[in-house]
Amino acid sequence: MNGTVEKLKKKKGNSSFGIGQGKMTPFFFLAPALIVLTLVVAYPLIYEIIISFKNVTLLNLKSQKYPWIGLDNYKNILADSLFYSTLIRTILWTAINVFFHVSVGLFLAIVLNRKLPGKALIRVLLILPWAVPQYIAALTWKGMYNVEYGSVNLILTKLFGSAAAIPWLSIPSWTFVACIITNIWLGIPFMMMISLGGLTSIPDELYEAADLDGATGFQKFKNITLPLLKPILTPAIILGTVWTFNMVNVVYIITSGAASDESQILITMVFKRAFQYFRYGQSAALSVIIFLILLAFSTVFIRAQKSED
Amino acid sequence: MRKIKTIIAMAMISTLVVGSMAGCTKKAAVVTPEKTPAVVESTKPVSLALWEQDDPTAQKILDGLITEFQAANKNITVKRTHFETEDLRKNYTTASLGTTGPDIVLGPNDNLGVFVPGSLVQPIDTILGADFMATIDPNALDAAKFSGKQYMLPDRNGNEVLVAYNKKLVPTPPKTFEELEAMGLKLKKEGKVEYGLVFNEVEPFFSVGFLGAFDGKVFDDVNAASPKPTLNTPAVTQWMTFMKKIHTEGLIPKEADGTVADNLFKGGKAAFEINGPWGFADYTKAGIDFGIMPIPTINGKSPAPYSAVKGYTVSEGVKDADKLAAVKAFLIFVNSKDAQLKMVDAHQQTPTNLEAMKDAKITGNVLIAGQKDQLAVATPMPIITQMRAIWDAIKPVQQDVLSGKTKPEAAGAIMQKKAEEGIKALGL
Repeated sequence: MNGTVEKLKKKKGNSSFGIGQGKMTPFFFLAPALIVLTLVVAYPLIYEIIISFKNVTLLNLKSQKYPWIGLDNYKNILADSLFYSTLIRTILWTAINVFFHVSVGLFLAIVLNRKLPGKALIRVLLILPWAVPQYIAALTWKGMYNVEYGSVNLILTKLFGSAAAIPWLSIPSWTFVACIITNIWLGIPFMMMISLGGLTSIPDELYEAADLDGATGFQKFKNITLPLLKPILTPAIILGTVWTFNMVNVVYIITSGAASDESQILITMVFKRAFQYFRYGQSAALSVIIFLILLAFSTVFIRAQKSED
Repeated sequence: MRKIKTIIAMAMISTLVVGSMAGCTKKAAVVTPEKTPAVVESTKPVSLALWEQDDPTAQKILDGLITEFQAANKNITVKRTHFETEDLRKNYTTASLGTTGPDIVLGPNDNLGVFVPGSLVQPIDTILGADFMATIDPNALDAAKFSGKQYMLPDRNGNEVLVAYNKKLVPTPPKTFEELEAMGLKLKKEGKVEYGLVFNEVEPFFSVGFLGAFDGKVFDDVNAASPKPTLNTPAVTQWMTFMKKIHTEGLIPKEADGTVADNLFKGGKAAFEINGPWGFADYTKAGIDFGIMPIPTINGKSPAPYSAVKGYTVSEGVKDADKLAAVKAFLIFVNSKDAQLKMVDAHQQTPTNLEAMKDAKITGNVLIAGQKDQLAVATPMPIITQMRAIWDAIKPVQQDVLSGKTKPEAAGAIMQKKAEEGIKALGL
């Protein structure tokens, strides 16, 4: 009997090569993901932090010998008034976009979660903006914003007369509004799908119980839907904020290369400094600042959500 | 079920093993290519990466030339990748830092302002040899030098903007800008066009020629060690006042980028377009009967648009003797008389091969001959690195002047400040 048990144990040990037994087993399973993350996230991030303390220009780019200049890149950025005006614009950009992404996305999800004729078709239509490549969508919207030939102004002038035509692309503040509209259109499907997924997981019994208690529609939304959606919406809002804060495509295309300082956001500033002026050190420093802003936001937001719970 | 799983697992493992070994066995598996009668002596397989920013018609012709070249040089593969002008410049700069950059880049000569100071390209005359260089137009070669060294092999000369006019709407081309203005406004009033004149109002490259008519220029001395921008001048104020005037009176559209301008002209909705020769193929395709002429004089003075050459540069990273030989063979092939003449069909500019320049296809080409008058008064585009700061300074301010946000008289000072900041930002 003893012999059989030992044999079985031996056989078992051989088939798993011992990795299923030790304390290191979880690490073996984590290893592939850890290696990939180290290569694609940790290494670039550390490299970026290092070159943010160096002077990298077009002239020394190829030599890869970049002089150490300490905090100079950071000091220059923080001493530049353009940084602060752009930061305020970026916060405004992110707040408006995320607000509409979440509110409209959630509203559409609630509508789609009910019995509705042609629901499948409506759902496909609403997801379409997500399926269109951002670059193509931004180019199309840019065409639609032309003051005379764009469809947006054609509709506006048909409805409200020729004075209603808005110079979307030639006045920087209007260009900024045009970017916001485009990005709201692009971002709604993501929030809608996430919210829809969350809504389907809320048990109907809760609503039935609320109905028995005589709760109104708004009360049900406030006391059942929202609290139960929170675990799903919190990461989605954080993701949405990070994506919106760092949205290059829409702003860069609609503003014709972020030509005007008055319609750019921080990430297009990084893009311009790195790829138009070849100041990789300065743009790395600016990227680190953006990273810290987003890290601070995510931490505070998650903590606030937890304390509410 | 278990058997199926085992079979699938074995198949996947064999695929993985074979796949991972594919790279190792490549050399052994390659059949020795036939020795070709072309220039390359080595038969070792060589792959060349070519990046360009040409128009679709030119891309097609280039593909045909590449196929022809590969058929004659079976050991050489040329992979062409297309980028837009700015993307090509920044992607090449970034890619060259690693090992993924292309071997050859075909683009305008102002790329040299970034590629040479960045040590990203190598002199090309030493690769191609004096005999071949002697077959190329010396004027074009001059425009493709940086700091006195030949870093680019130009394949076309011109790249200037001029006026294309719709012959149906304009039977007799105007002699002065004032005439063009009157004609354009009249046609608009009669409802025959939506706008008299169109051009890309976003990129200052299309309007900077007007500055020349007011005796202005963007640098004090483009050959100086550190050239200073000269944008805060009466000439710039006059240029911006002129732009605002033609915008306000409705000669040009309220807003137009290249696409809008092209579509209006190709649709017969604009009488004149300021554009480059690269647009001619599209006009013909759209069925527009058009003529070309220099941008006419303003108050008796000729505008001076920028002219440039376009050509091939070789990456600094190309060191291997076989690769250099392949690069040499390819560049000599695509810049032969026949190949350059084929490319002319797409770009409609003067070729640089001396034999090609004498060919009847060029001497008898109305569209190329018609560019001579414009080129005679054009200014060679400054290709120094600082020029990037100039473009970045003019672009938003011109837009602000046209939209009414900035007054023409205030524009020069803003541009100057932006240009100086830009040059400082470049670290120069």
